[in-house]
Amino acid sequence: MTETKLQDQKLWLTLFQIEALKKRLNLLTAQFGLFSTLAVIIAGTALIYLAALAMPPLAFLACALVVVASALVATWRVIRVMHHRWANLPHAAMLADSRAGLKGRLLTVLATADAQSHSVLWPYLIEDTYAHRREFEPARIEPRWVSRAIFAFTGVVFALVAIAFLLRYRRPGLGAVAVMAPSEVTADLNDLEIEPADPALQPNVHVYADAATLRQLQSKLADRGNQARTHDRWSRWMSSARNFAGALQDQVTGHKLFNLPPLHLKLTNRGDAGADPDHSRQASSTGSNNAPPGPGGNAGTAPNGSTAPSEAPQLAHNDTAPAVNPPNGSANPNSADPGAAGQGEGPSGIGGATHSGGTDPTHLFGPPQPQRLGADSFKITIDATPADEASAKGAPAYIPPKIQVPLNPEQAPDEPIARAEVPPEDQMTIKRVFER
Amino acid sequence: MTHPVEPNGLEPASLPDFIRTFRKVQAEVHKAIVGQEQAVEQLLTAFFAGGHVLIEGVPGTGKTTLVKTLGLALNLSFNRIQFTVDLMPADITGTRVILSGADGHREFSFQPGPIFCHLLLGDEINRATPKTQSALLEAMAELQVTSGGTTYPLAPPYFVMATLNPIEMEGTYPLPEAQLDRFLLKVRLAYPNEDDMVRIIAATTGAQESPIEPVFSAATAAREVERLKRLVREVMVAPAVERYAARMVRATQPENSRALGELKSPIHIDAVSRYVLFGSSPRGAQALILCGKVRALLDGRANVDFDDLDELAPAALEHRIMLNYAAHSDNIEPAQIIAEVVKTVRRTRD
Repeated sequence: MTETKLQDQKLWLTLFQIEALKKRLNLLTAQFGLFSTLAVIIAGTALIYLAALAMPPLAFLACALVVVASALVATWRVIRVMHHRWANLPHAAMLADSRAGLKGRLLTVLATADAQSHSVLWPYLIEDTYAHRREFEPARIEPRWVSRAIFAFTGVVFALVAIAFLLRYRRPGLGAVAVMAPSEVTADLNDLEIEPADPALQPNVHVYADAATLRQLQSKLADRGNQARTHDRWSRWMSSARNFAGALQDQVTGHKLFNLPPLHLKLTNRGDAGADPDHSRQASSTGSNNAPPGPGGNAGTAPNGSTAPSEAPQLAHNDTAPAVNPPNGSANPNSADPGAAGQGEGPSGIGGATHSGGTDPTHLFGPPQPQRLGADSFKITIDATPADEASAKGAPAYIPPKIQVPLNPEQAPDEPIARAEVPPEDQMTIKRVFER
Repeated sequence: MTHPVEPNGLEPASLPDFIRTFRKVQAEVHKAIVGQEQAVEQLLTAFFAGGHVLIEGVPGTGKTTLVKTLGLALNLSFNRIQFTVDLMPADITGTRVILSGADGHREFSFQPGPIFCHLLLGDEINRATPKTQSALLEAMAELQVTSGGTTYPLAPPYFVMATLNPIEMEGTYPLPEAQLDRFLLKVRLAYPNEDDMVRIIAATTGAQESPIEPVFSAATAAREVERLKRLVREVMVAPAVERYAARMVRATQPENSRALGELKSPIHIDAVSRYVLFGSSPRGAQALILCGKVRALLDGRANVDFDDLDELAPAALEHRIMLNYAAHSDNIEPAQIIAEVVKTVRRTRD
């Protein structure tokens, strides 16, 4: 009787140790799940926030979707690992057997403890297993109290703090860029490429022009709007996505990202270009080739001021979106320079800022312009390959001329290159190349 | 502590008795057999597990000596049958002959064949016809012989050791699967290494031979062996280990190698799918568990572990799988298949 009681006590102690080990394993598993999930969530949130700060709306939307999908997959994997690791008594016994080299003793004790009748070797098994009790103490089988996932969690938190510090350090730089942006731009209406505005951006352009120019702008916007309406559904979806991404970006960042000072756009209109219908059509079609469709085109009809009386230059305040975007090079950033501002207006203003229209061969050549501070020079090589429609089949290949252009050391990135002297014998060839 | 008495009045031996007896028999056998430690241990394992053994080895590696020495060490009756192509079933089971009494009365009497013994060595069993081979089936499986409509029981312990000569295969009759399946283990006798060879020469060419001392007396040998075999049956097996054995056997079956049992994620054993025609029968799982129990006792345990099954898998399963022509053309051996199965199934321990 006493022997049986002693045996029961040993069995109870053995089972108690297995139960304690199970609790410790499950505690670690719970910690793993908690820390891993938190790490995933924090890392995902930080990535989305960074993307909102640094990316344009559509890229931000794509990035956010990828991050959210990755976070979901990671969380699902964490849950699966937790489910796999979550220990019941047999699992704990097997783990202890494996780590303590007990060769299945604990598993067998556990499995046969509740049996109705026991083997003649049962007392031996109990005694043998109890003799190894120090080897399967929970602290020896699993010494850790804290899951290793805390390292991942801590690492993510540290990374987050570091990023926050860097962002705070870099924030004034973004403001400085905004301040440096030109506040007034003069552009010729004929050189404008009308593109849909980014819906994520707020209207921030004031357009000044005389009545005739505004009317022409209105007709151009209407033309662009008609073209935009003919575009497919995909474009509308893209615009909706852009809208959504912009709003989301604002929500994530908590402020308007591009909080730039308002831009004053002064529109001019060359008399000869405006009078020539062919030229207008050509300029319009050239602009529409590169302009992506979207609701911005419709929004571009917003300058209601164009219907105002024709006295004096008028302000066409764009209340909906900056539908009018001057192409690169057509806007003169140095609007304070009177010479540059005047280039687009008089008959002599055909060159300089306006000849970057480039595709108009009638304005290719003219008197060379003196460089203000020309010291160095660079070459432009125009490669033209003979095509099937060449004038003479089998004729020798055209060797493009090397044209020396003095380099302005203060050349701004968006400033047109000054016209250079072109040899008369090459003028026709270059003109043909541009015509194509 | 009192052990329950078995219904037939046989009380299981104790675990220390088992280990002591096993090691003693092992030592006696090694007096005559140099080296081949694993083969001897497997032979004794199968013997105490209550099964039969198929011994494969080239001539001269001590197959007959091994079996003969075992009989001497255990002090059990021992017979040897050389299987030839003209051997008839009655030659091994026995036959009815007419005997005349002192009073002139004549009657049929059954003359037991060499199969009636405790330890039977069937030498080169694959040289006999399938009909004669199958005469062993009943004896091996049911411990009885039927002749002339009368069934004669065989006295336990009954242990059949059949040898297979892997060379000179012309004119032989490969053992049918049903008969192969009845052997608990297949033991391979390899060529001895140089040191063992020197010891064999010294032990067998001298004037003196080491006498084999019986571990049991002739009167109690059979009973003692049965007690030890009963102890083997008392070894406990956790359900997870039983499931592991079942999973291992099912993994040898080509139709099951893709989805093992109730596993959520199927396991694909490419070697089994490509090269195995028929996998192991449930007897393979029985062999794994029974031999695992013997190994557990030898290790001083009262329970079977997963590792016991892993180590026994080659001997217990190799002869139970039938390879296809692709395996023969690719020179794939059953040992390679079983190794792959063990490696794969080991990952699925619960």
